[in-house]
Amino acid sequence: MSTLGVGFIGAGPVTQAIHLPHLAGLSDRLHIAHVMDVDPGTAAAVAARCGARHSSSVEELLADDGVDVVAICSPHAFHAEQAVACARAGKKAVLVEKPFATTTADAERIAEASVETGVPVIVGAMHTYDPAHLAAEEHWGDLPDTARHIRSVIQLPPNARYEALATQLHSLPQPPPQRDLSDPAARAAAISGSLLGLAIHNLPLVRRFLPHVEAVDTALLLRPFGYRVTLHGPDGRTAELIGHIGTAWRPEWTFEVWGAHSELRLDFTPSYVRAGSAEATVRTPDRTLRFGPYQHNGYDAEWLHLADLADGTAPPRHTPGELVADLRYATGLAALAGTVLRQQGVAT
Amino acid sequence: MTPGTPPTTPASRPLTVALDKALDTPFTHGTLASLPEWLRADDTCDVDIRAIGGPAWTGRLHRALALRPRAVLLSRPTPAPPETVKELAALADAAQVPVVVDTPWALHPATTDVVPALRAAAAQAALIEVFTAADVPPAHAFLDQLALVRATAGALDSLRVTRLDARGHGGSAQCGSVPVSFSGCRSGIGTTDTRLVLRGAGEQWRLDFAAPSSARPATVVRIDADGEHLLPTRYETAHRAAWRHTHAAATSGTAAPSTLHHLAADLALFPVEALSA
Ligand SMILES: NC(=O)c1ccc[n+]([C@@H]2O[C@H](COP(=O)([O-])OP(=O)(O)OC[C@H]3O[C@@H](n4cnc5c(N)ncnc54)[C@H](O)[C@@H]3O)[C@@H](O)[C@H]2O)c1
Repeated sequence: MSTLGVGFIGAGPVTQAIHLPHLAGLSDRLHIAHVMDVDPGTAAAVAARCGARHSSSVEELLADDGVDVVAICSPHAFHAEQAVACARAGKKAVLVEKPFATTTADAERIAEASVETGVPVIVGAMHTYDPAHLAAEEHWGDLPDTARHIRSVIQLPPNARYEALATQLHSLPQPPPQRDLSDPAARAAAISGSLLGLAIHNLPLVRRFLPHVEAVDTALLLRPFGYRVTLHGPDGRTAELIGHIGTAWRPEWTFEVWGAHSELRLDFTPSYVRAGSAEATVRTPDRTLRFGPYQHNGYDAEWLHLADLADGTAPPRHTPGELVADLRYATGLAALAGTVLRQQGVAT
Repeated sequence: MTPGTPPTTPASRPLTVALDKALDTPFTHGTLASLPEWLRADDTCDVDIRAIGGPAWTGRLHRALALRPRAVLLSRPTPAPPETVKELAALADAAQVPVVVDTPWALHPATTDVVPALRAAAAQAALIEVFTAADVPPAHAFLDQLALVRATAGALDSLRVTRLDARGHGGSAQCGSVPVSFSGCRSGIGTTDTRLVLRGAGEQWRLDFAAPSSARPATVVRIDADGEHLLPTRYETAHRAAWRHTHAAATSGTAAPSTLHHLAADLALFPVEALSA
């Protein structure tokens, strides 16, 4: 059976450490056909690892007939323009790494291009594809309606710990610039960056259980990198989002919901490492259902879904409209948290 | 004992305990029965220890102090005005009656065992967080959390309450320069889950408490560069520990880890509208 060819736009750490090993593990469905990066050396080196063609322009990649599916792994600012170009080029399916875009208007442009061209576009929110999460969803009943409180915790060691286990990076990424948090505008930018960079992984799940944000009640930056944000909806349901990247080795990536009749806990594996799916628990007064761990993690499931979309054997799990709504939710939350932080003090 | 051997006399007789109606329950009796050499529920004679609990406890504590028992156990006090509690603390001091405040997490043996290590780690934390999901009024859960943080991290500089209603509570505070977050949700399905987590650059700690009505141990985990260390489990409820502290206070004047002064300080941080909850 022939396999689908994947083209990468951007060949940085995510392409090297996450997507290449995952795709190699799905070699019965997909292969890497083309690697493009604005840095020709990176494109050539990464392509050489998987026997793919390489280039340094999006046009060249799109002109390559061997590319059926495109994965956009460039910095955030380029996602929208490149996703639209992929759809217009008539590729079979497109994966846009998170965030979908940086503004709702840009996300809408991608959605329009997808609808007009019929090219399915998905976003790299891998946890929304996690098999244990999806199994729990079948059993969580009315929890989205009765949710009272939501907790999203992402506690991670520095990325390098997992990148080094997932691959040998071609070149080491630049460390993030130092932040001067005495400046209110810098604080607002830092919380916004943290929410759109890290919290965003769980935000589609948060939106599912707290669809309308009435206000952000507290926003706090954590040292050396992280946030704690609390919010509530018009009906009084609340959420707390905690993210922290420190030096400690112990990861925790959980998403929990307490509802009137049931409770949910998702315990995800960290990014990069291929450690299988989440473990999910749905509790009701008289029983506890457990799902996972399954062999495939969210990245595997995301790629298998892309392959099904490209083959035309499955409808998109999330419509373009939903992806726009997810981004609107995330950017709205980031703006509200930025406003709160501008007014409040800063972690010392 | 070999038949015929004269029974050894216990070192001292058990102290007699008078229980408030709210505490005259199988749970209290079951707990007292686990300390038979020290404590016995009996209000037909001179009472050594008075146990106060239930709503409107301040008036009953006032009357109990006037009777000058050897000690008082105040069980799970509900929120009350801090000035009243301060007055009661002064009254107890003047009467030299020690009052032990029975609170489910601060007095839990899993907590009291590790207080010095936790205090040191808390000072280095990037965030101290407490979360409770339980089927108890949120104001009570919040007060219990304040006692826990006071015991493990130290006094709080301020408390900003962002939410306190029938469904849950939320707040944030500073403990020195370390941010502390409080949150809780009234469980609809009877879950009992309280967690204290220290996230930070150095040691991380995680205390997970089970329901206070059973001796199911808390899970106390210290995470450092060498691994994740599960500390020895303690199969004792905070309520039994509170009785032990009360006995020690009555017999040897030992100061309890949780007193009326601590309670008054926690209540002083509370929003006024929640004080009669
Ligand atoms: N899903 C996940 O788990 C996950 C994790 C981390 C990052 N991400 C996302 O993946 C994307 C890439 O992350 P990264 O850490 O690899 O980023 P990076 O910025 O470190 O690397 C991006 C690469 O893109 C190249 N590049 C720059 N401009 C380009 C352009 N216009 N066209 C093509 N290539 C260009 C750079 O030379 C670099 O090699 C980001 O959007 C990020 O948010 C996803």
